Amino acid sequence: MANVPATVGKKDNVLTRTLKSLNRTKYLQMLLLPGLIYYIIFHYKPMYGIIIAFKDFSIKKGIMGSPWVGLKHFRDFFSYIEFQRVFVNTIILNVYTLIFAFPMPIIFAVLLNELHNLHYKKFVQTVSYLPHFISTVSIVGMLHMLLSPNNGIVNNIIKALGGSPIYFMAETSWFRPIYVFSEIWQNIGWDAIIYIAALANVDQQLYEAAVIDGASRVKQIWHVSLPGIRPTIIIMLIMRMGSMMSSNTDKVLLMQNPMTYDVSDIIGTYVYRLGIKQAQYSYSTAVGFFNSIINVLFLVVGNSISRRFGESSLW
Amino acid sequence: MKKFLSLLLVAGMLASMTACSGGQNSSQQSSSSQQASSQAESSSESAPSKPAEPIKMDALYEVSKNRIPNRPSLVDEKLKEMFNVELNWIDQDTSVYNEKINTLLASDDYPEVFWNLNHPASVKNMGLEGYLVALNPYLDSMPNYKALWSEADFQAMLASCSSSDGNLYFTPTQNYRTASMSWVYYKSEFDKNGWEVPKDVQGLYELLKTIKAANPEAVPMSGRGKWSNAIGGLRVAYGVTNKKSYVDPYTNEFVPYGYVVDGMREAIKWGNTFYAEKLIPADYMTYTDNEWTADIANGRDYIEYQYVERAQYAETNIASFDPNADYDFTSFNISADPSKGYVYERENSWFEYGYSFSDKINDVEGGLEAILGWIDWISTDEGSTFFCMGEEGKTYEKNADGTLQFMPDMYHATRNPEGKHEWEYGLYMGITRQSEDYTREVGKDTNVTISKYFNEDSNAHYTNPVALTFTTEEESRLNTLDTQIDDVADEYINKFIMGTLNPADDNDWNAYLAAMNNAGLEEASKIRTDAYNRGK
Amino acid sequence: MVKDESLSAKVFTVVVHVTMIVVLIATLVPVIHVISISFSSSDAINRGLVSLWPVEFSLNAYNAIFETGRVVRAFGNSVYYTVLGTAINMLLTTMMAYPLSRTYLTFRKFYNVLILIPMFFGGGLIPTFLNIRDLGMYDTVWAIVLPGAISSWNLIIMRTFFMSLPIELEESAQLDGANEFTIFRKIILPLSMASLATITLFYAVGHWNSWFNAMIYFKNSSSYPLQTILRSIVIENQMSEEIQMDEIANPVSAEGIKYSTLVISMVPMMVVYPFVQKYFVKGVMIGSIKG
Repeated sequence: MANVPATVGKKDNVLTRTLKSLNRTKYLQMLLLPGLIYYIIFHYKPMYGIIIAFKDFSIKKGIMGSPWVGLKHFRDFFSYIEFQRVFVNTIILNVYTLIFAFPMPIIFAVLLNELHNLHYKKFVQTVSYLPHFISTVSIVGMLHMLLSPNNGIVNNIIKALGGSPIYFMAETSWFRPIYVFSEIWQNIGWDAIIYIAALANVDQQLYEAAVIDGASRVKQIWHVSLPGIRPTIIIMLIMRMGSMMSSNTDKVLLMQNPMTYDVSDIIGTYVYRLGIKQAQYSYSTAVGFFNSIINVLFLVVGNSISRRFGESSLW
Repeated sequence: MKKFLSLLLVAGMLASMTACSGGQNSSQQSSSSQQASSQAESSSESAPSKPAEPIKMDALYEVSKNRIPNRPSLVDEKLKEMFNVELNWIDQDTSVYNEKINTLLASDDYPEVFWNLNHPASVKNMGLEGYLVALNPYLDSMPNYKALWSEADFQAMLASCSSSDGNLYFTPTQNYRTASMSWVYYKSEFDKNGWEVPKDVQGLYELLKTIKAANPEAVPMSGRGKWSNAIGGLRVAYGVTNKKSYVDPYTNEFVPYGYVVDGMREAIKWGNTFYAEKLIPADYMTYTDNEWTADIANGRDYIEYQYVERAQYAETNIASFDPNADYDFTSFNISADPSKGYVYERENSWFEYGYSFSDKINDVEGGLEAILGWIDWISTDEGSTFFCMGEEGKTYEKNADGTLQFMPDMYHATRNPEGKHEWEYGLYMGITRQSEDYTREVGKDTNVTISKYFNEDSNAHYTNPVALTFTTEEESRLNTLDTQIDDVADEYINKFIMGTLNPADDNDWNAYLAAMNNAGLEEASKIRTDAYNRGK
Repeated sequence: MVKDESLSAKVFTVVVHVTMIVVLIATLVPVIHVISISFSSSDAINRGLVSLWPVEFSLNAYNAIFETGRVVRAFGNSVYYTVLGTAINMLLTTMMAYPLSRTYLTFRKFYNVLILIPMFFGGGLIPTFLNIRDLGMYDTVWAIVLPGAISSWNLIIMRTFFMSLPIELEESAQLDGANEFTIFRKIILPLSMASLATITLFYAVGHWNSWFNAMIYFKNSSSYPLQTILRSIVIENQMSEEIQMDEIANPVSAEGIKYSTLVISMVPMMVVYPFVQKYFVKGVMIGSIKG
């Protein structure tokens, strides 16, 4: 380790050691001080608002003046007759996204890296991320158009091949695949940017050494590129684990309809429907709090597994 | 000592200066208020006397489509002239209401007057929280406003618009019509082919099949998405005037949930038949406004149960496909059994939006009285003419037959589509009463027409919408239950229509009823029935 | 052996190119569709005639958007907020990411947890709003730019990037007598161009796309950024339940408006991105370490 001196006094207690260590890293501590202040003022100071989840919040009474209701909102939430359905759907949708959509940007970035023609490479990369800027509403609108049972392109092809049209958006078995597909479609280019940047950091000399050793391009990817961006992949993976309960509620709301509620109704969309008639500030805060707890659990599990395997971790 | 005396002297001078200037102002104002009050007396009952000092207040003005008036507007001038009120306008876009209202209230930075909020649930809630002034004690001092409704209607209005604590926190607006929907159809095509809109559902079925046979591209009965639009007309044909609570127009019985009555089942059965024979769009459930407009614009939409105003909309959109197209609306509704007449959906005689006043107005001397006086005045003939049409010679002119018409430089759909709008002068936003001339000028007279048809037709049956008042706990519980009930209904009814389940099959229908009960239908029905019996 | 290798290499090349073409088509088609609709006439849009090329070329959607004058001003606002905001973002984030990337930092675990918690828990809209207001930032540009000054997500990514720089660089600099400030400025930053470019892009796009905070914290719509205004315009033009007066005479297609706003949002990104892209070129590290 660069900065720890070889000699540490045997008689130093914890406090003294800490102070010495602080002194050694004083420039680093100074560098991060502004950021620290930022977090405290803008994130930790208002965090007391979490207690809204345990109160019957009224704006006029304020957060402190509103009556305490303990776990009432959570009990209401758990006793929703379809609680199990929305909870499971939320998790399954995110697991599917993790399994199928997560690797795509990585594969794309790695393959893009193999292009020799710089102009072509830049062109493909620029075009690939544009769908990220198309609003969810428009993406779903285009999905509707593509999959329409009347004159959608997909059904036209099916009809031409002799089949009968399928009303995709109304089929429970198609909901999740279509959702995951739209996530890949919209985000592959944008999510790849991180991996492209990480690949740029991989030392060229490693590739040269591999070539000298007679590795094919596939072998080079496997032994140089991927290991080179492994920390990035692992960190991204762990952070995704911390979003297991979060969902793209807007997109699901636009894509779902009563025929597919069995698979398409997630926690976010249920809370939304509940809140249309009567804004339920405390209740939605409580649900959000519950989601966050589950997210943290997933995150801790993911991080611990990663640490056990000796990989990068978040703390 | 010297210092104290000189201070006293200065204070005395200042006091006398303000007293003098106040006196001058009041003498000026009293002469103009005399004029104003004499004018007012000639056309209405007592007008409030104008206060000496200008009353200054903040007012939130809900804006849609960036329609901000040029200020000071005609309304500003009128407020100053008649009530000596100067409002500091805070414009808020209606698209940001949900996000902004909570922060506005939480930061204690809200105005005295909410001029025209169009969010009844939110306003009722704000009243419950204590942010708004209860208006019940003041209603008797607003005779012209009260006169907009019959006594019975007024009581019904109070029952419906009050928050669960029994207080009225806003001033509802008069509804100029009693009905707005009937069957809109592609008249020019009907005439060409010798078709007629039938009076019964069986006839509708035959008609739709005929149209489809004549034009395979036809939809022929389109809609704006979801099952409620797809079979809305059929539901009404069977007398089910609401998915939830209504009073049966024939038996006068209270029905807590229209979702499960026999009439609804019949309507759903027809929906199932129509769907199977491709007489309604295959993807009606996910139909967007876009797809619906495309059906109209391409001449595929032949008939649907719709707002009668949309006849004009259809004609405009189909213009390039069929320049001679003519859309019209029926003067009756299709009925399950025409021998018993037909049912139409009658609207309340009020709209659930209007003026609200925050508790801060209590700190402004005479503020509340002034605006209430304004509300009372705009309910008179003179006042509503001003607020809808503006000023004679400036924004409107009088025709030979006595009707009023916007000036040539003002907007009109056919005379001058590029003209100036009434909202630029601050007009119309915040009316309590819509004048006849205005209704005609903006093309909403189709609503007046259809209301007239139904009112004068002895075959037309209706019941007024029910007014149910719930306690806060009931309201909260009902919200939870209704979300579940709506979900189950949506799921099953779509499955019935699309053929996954068979509505004619008792097993399937009973499964639906069982699922509804599981979602809390019994409990919710009881809450609604109790509320209805309480209010009777 | 050699023959097999060149065959697998050929197959590999085919795979690469096929993938690129699939991605190109899949991502280009919706973009072309959006652009085509934005330049088509209302009538053509209403009748659903537009797919991959404008039908009845028309600028009426763009006219409708620009005629209010709100958009041009909002565009200027957005540029201002994005530049100011991103500068603050990058300054604070790099200053925090570098120390966190040094494994010998005192209290490192504590700091790492500290930055993670706000990713999951927050006070909610009203406490955050009151906080901003109590700090005197309501209706100022600081309310837009400071609350999001550091994104924990971006911070963690940047920290990961810094950690991947070899420790030998730092050690050799220390032997030459440099302190952490100097190392940070003269060595770490220049070598992290790709990662810095990436995070700058993320922050800038975040600012460019944001619409919510401005709406909550500004009193006057003249301070709104582009996305807030565009969002309002799209909502305004949606079909209402009952007809508004001028929907009859001048139907400007709501779809047309929606897609034109998208194009307006996309264009600046497409213009700016090539400048960022050049930092993603391979070989930044050539020659930095010997042997």
